[in-house]
Amino acid sequence: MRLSLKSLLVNSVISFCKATNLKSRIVYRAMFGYLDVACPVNSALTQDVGHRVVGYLTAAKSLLATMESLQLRWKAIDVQSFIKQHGRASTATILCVELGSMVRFACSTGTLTCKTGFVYVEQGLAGAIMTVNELALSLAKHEVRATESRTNSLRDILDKQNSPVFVAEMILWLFTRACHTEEVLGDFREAFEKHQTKYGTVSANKWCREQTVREVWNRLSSAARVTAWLSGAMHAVTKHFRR
Amino acid sequence: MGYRDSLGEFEQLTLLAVWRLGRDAYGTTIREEIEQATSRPIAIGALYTTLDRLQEKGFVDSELGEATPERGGRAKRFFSVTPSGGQALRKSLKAIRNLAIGFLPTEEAL
Repeated sequence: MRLSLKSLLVNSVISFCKATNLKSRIVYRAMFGYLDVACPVNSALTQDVGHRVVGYLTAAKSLLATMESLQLRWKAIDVQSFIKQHGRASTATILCVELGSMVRFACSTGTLTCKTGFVYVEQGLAGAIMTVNELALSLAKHEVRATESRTNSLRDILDKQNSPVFVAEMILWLFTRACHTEEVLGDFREAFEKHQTKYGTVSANKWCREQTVREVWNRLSSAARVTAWLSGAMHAVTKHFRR
Repeated sequence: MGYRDSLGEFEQLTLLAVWRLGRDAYGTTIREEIEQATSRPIAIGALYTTLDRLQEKGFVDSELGEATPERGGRAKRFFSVTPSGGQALRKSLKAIRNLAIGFLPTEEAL
């Protein structure tokens, strides 16, 4: 049983590493994909980016499937029957009982929230393992959903290269957070159409330029705020340790 | 009122706009409502960041609508104020009203 517990720990570390790796892949895609798309919009490079995005998405989906099957396997562990067979209450057994109760708890609660995460941690090592795995799983799910939506948005934009807001949409796609790409682009398009109907094409184009600049500025300034906050925090920490 | 329950200025404006719009509260209408009230342009991205934060706090709920052609085939996300959101908004506005006594003439006070 000690071995099972160890393998449980190793599995959770592996799944966590996989999730982290997934994140770095997304960062890679973001950096290189953005550069490729931003510069030569009509070239073959764009197609290449499309292929790569699909590749990453497939990899991410297969990772998600692996992690979910791992999670299901864990939830199927029958701790009580193990105790009946062995009849001993070692530390490992107690931990397994804890794990079993937490698995049941996880099954009854369904989705993970921060609060349930804390409950796991309170219940010991097994709980902590479950928490790490659940968090890694939810992180991976979130990333896959965001990447999928972002890829679809990019595909939609590239399909409508004759649109009057094509360039603006490309810029917005680059500068919008992955989780709201669809909504932001939809709102932008709707507002543009409204402007065009109400005030004419010239005014709508002017609005389009101004709004694009506003969106980019908003994103850059929030990134700058985060950077300033981080550098301030780093400075405070290093100052504290120098004393 | 803890940090998680407190509301910033833009969060208050957003919650009020969502409440006023009722069933028709989605990105474009919320942005227009705030722009009309404050006479200042709003970045769409900033609005969604705020709505996300409000949703994390449990102050608004959202559901996806149908895709429409005027949005380039993209779906609307409709927002609604939750009971806890309404409560937080009332608390926040009450605090401002209490502080504003004497500063604004009575009829202009919130």
